[in-house]
Amino acid sequence: MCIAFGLLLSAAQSSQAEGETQGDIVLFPGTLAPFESNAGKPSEPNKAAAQKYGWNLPGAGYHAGSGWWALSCDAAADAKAPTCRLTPTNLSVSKGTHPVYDGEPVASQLLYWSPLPDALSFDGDNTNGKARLLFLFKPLRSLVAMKIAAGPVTTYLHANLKDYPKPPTPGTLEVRIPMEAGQFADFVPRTLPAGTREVQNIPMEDVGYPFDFLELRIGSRHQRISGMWTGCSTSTLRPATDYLWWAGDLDGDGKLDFVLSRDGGGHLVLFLSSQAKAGELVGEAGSFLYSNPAQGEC
Amino acid sequence: MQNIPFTTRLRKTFFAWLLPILLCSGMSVCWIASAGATGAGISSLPLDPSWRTFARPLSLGSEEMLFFQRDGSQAVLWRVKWLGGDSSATPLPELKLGDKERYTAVSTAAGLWLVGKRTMLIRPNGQRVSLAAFETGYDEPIATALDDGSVAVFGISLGGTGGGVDQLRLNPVSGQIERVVRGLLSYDGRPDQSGQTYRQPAFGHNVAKLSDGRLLMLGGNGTPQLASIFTPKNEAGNWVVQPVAGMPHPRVGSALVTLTDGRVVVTGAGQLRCYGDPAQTRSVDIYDPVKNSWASLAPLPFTPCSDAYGADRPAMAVTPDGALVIGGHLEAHVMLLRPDKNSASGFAADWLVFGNFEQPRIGGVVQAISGKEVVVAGGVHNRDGCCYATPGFDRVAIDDSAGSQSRALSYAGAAVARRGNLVFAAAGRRFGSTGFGQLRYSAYAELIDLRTGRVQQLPNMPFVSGAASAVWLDDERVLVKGTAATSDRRFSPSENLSSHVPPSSAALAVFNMKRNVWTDVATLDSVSGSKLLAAVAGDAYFLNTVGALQRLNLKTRKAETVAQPALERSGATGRLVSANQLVLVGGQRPGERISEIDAQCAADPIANCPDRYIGFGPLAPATDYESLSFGAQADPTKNRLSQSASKQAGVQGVAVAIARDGRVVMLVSDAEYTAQRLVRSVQGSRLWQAMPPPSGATLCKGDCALLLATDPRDEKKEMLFFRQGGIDSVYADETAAKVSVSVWLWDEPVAGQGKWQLVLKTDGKAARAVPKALDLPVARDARLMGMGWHLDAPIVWTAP
Repeated sequence: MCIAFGLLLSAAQSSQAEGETQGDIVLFPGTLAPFESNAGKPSEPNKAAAQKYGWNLPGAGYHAGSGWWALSCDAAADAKAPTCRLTPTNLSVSKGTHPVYDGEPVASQLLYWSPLPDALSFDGDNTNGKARLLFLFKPLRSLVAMKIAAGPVTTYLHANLKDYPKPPTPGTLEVRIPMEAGQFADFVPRTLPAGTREVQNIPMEDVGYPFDFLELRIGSRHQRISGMWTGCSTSTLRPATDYLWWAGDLDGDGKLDFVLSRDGGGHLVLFLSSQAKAGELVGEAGSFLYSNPAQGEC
Repeated sequence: MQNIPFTTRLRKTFFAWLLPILLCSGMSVCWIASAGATGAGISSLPLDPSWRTFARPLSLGSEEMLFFQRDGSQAVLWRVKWLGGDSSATPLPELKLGDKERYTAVSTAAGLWLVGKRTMLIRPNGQRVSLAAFETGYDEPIATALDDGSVAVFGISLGGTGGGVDQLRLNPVSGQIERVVRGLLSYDGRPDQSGQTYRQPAFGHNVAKLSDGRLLMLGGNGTPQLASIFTPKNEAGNWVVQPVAGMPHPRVGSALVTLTDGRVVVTGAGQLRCYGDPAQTRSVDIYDPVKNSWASLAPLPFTPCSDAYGADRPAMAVTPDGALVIGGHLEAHVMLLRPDKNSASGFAADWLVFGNFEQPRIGGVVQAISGKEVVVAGGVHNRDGCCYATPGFDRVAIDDSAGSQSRALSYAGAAVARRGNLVFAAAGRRFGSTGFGQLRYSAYAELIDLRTGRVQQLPNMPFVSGAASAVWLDDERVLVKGTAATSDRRFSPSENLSSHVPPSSAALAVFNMKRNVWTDVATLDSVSGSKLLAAVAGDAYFLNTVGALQRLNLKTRKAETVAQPALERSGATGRLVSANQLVLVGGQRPGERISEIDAQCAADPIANCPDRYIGFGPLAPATDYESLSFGAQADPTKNRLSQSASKQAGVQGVAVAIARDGRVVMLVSDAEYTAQRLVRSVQGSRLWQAMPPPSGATLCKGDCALLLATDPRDEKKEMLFFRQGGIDSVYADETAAKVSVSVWLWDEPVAGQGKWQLVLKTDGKAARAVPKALDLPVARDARLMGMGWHLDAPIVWTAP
C-alpha cells in the first residue's frame, strides 16, 4: 500500500510554513523537475530554458512571493576553495494535479522559482560539470531579519565538489569540514552495538532508523544529529556527499551552519548555529520532508 | 590378455591336468589337495581389472589365502601360498552363480563351506556336497566355523521379521548337509516388539568365536550396542543365548578378532559411512568374556569406513606376535597396534600406519603372514566412477615404523611446520567417492627429516581435524591448532563438497618431541575460530575471523587482542612479519566502518569515549592490505592501509603471498576469471606495481597459488613461487593424479628486473608428498628439492 505522506500533510496545511516544511525557514531541495514528471525521477532538462522546473506538491498551502533565496555551488571548485553563491528569487504558484500511486490524481500546486542562475543542474546525481542548485529557502518569523546577501556565501564544503576531502578516518564515511583559522568540524556516523536498542542516555528518538546517527564534533564539543536514515537499504551508510549537502556560514555569525539530507533526497534539514540551544552547536532552523504520493514505499 | 573365459584358459594351461602338488596343512585345508582331480591347476592369480569375485578372500592360517573368482556364472577357486608365491586355480562347475550372488567362505574340519543363498561344501577328499533342501536366502551371511566342523549362520532380519540362527552340518550317515534351526536371530532370544524394543539386528551384526567355542554376536542395525553369547550344542533345540555387557560404542558392520588370551577386539563405525562422531567412528573396543566387561583401546588415526558397492565392514587380524592389524577400508593402508605388556589393555598407546596401495581394498580381508608382514586382499574400489573388485592382494611390511615418503603431506589441509631440516606434519582431509562422497580426516602425525629422507611416525593426534595449523614453539615442542569447517560443505572458499563434512575439532595441543607425547590438549573458545599464525617467545599468535591478531599465553591460556585492522576482514591472509608487525591482505570486508557507541562509556557524562570502529555494510572482496604495528615496541609509522590493487568492483585477490619484508604479492581477478593481473606492493608505499605473469600460465580459476619458502641456500631470503594446478583443496587421489601442476620461481637478480622461471612440472598427487628436484642448476653439488606444493609454504631443501 502506498504511504501518501505528503498528501496527508498538505491537506491540512494552512500556511507555507507548514506541511512539507517545518521551522522558521521554509526549505526546498534544489532537485527540481519538470512539472509533468515531478512525480517520477527528475531528469536533466534538454532545453532547460524552455521548460519550467520546480516542485509539484499536492495541496494548496503555498503562496507566491518574494524573499526566497537559491543557493548554488560550482562543480569545478575544489575542497580548498569551494564556491557557492546566493541568488534572490521569487516563488510562483499555479494550479496543477499530482498523480497518486494507487488512486486518482489530486489537486496540487506547481511551485517554481525565478530568476535562477543560468546553466544550473537540478539533478543531484548528475551535474555534468554545471553548477548545482542545492536548495531554496525563505526565512520567516523569528528569522525574517536574518542577514543574507546576494553573491558568494562562506562555504566550507558542498555536495557538488569534484574533489571531496577524504574521511579523517580511513574506510569510514566521516567527513572533516575545514573551517576558518585552521579549525575543523567532523561529522562521525555512529551506531549502537547490534542488539542494543536501549541505551540509558541516548533517547530512542535520537536514534535513526535503524540505529545509526551522525555526531557533529567541533573541538571537544559533540552533538548528535538525529534521524539519519540509511535509506531503503539499511545495510549501508550513505556517502558523505549524499548526507552533507552544504556546510558554511549562512547566518553570518562566523560559526558552522549546514544542510543535511536525512535520507539522501526528500528529507532536508537546515541547521544554523544561531538556532543552537544551550549546550548545542547548531539548532534546526527548517526542514523539508516529502513523500511522493505517486510512489510506493520502498 | 585374450578375451576368452578364464576357465577355458585355465583348462588350456600346461598345469591343468597335473596332479595336485599342494600339501595338506591341516584337515581344514586338505580339501584343496584333492580338488585337482576335478580341474585344479597352477596359474597366476589374475590381476587385471576384469577380476570379479563371489566371496571375500579367506585366510588359511598365516600361510595361504583363498580367492573366489567369478567368471561369468562360473565360480573359480584360487589358492595362493605366500611362501614361494605359488597359486593354483580350481573351477567349481557345481556352483552356478546367479547375478551378483555372493557367498561367505568358511573353512572347518569338514571342508570349505560356501554359504549364501545356497550352500556348498567342498570336502577334504574333493567331494562337493550341495544343500538342496535349504536356501538361506541371504547374500554373504555372517557364518562362523564351529569346532565340530559345522557352520553357524546368523541371518538377517530386515524389516524386523524373520532372521534366525542355523547350524549347517554334514550328516555322517547320509553324507548330506543338514540344516538345524538353532533359534531366533535375537540378542535375548525373543523377537522385536513392534518397534519398541529392538533385539533383532536387521543387518550389520557380526560374530566371533570365543576360545571356549561359544559365539559372541554383537552390533547391527537396530541393535548397535548389544552383545550376546550363544552356546552351541549338538543336541536338538535352540542354542542358549545370554546377553552380555553392552558395547561402549555402536557397531554396524564391524571387524572382529579373538585374541589368544580369549578377549575379543572390535572396531567399525556405528554407521556404515565415514563420518560421524570421531570418538565413535575411530574407536576400538575390547571385550573380556571372563569379566564380562568392555574397555577401549587407543583410537584409530583414520576412520575404518568401508561402505561401498556391497562392502560393509573392515577387517582385522592378529600377527603372530600379538599385534592388531586393521585394513579393508577406504584408506589404502593398514593400521597396526603393537602389544604392550606394560599397559593395562595389553596394547600400545598408538596405532601405526603402513602401506600405500595403488587402490583401496574396501571390505577386503587382512591376513598376518608374520610379525613383519601382512596381506590385504580383495575388496572393492571406485574406478572411473564405479564399482570394481580390487584384484589381487597387497603385501605390506610392518617391521619399521619409519618410511621414506610422507603420508601426512598427501592430505589437504595438513598442519605442517618446519624447523631447520625437520618437518612436522599432521591432520588434514581426503575426499573420495564410492557412490556417495566420503570425506575423511587424518589424526596421523609424522616427523620428516629432510637430511636423511626418513619419515618417522609420531603418536597420533589427540583430536581429529580436517584442517589444522602448526608452529614450532622451540626445538622440542610443536603447537597444533585444529580448524573447524567454515560450513557443512567446506573448509576453504574454493571447496564445495558434495559430502557432509564431519565434525572437525578446533582444539589445541602441544607435541613434545623429546618425550614423544602430546600434552596441553585444550579447546579454548577464545581462539577456537582463529587461525594459528606463529609463536613468539612462548606466546602463540592467532588471526581471528575478522582479522584481529590475538596473543595466547600458553601457560595461562588467556588470549588478548593485540592488533585490530582498520577494516574487519573475514578470510584474510595474515602473516607476522616480525614480532610486532602484522600484515593482512585480501579477504572480505564490509564496505564501511562506523564508530560504535560504547554504551557503558557513553553513560558517563564526563567520560572521553574513544572511537571504536566496526565494519558496516555488506561484505565485499578486498584487494588492499593493512600493515599493523602492535605491542610495546609498536612503531606507528609502520601502520599502513594500502590502496586497493584494483578499483573495479567485484575484483578479488585469488592468490596472495606476504613476504618476510612485508611486501605483498597478489593475483587479482574479476569474478568471472576472465581478466587477471599480478601485482606487488611497493615497499614503504600504499601503492602497487605490476609483475609479469609466468610464461605459459593460463587464467587461474581457483587453481593458482603464490607461495613463499625460505631459501635453503640462504636462509635470510625467501623464494617466491607461482603454482598453477589446484591441489590445495580436496580432491580424490585419482582426480589429483590427473591435475597438471606447474611451478614457477620468481628470479629478480636486479631490483625491478625479475622474471618467472618454470622449475617443476608434475601431477597433483605427486606434488603433495613426493620429493621432486627443481629444474635449476646444481650448485655446490646440491640440488634444490621441493614437495608440499599444496601448502601455504612449500618445503624446499637442498639435497646432494
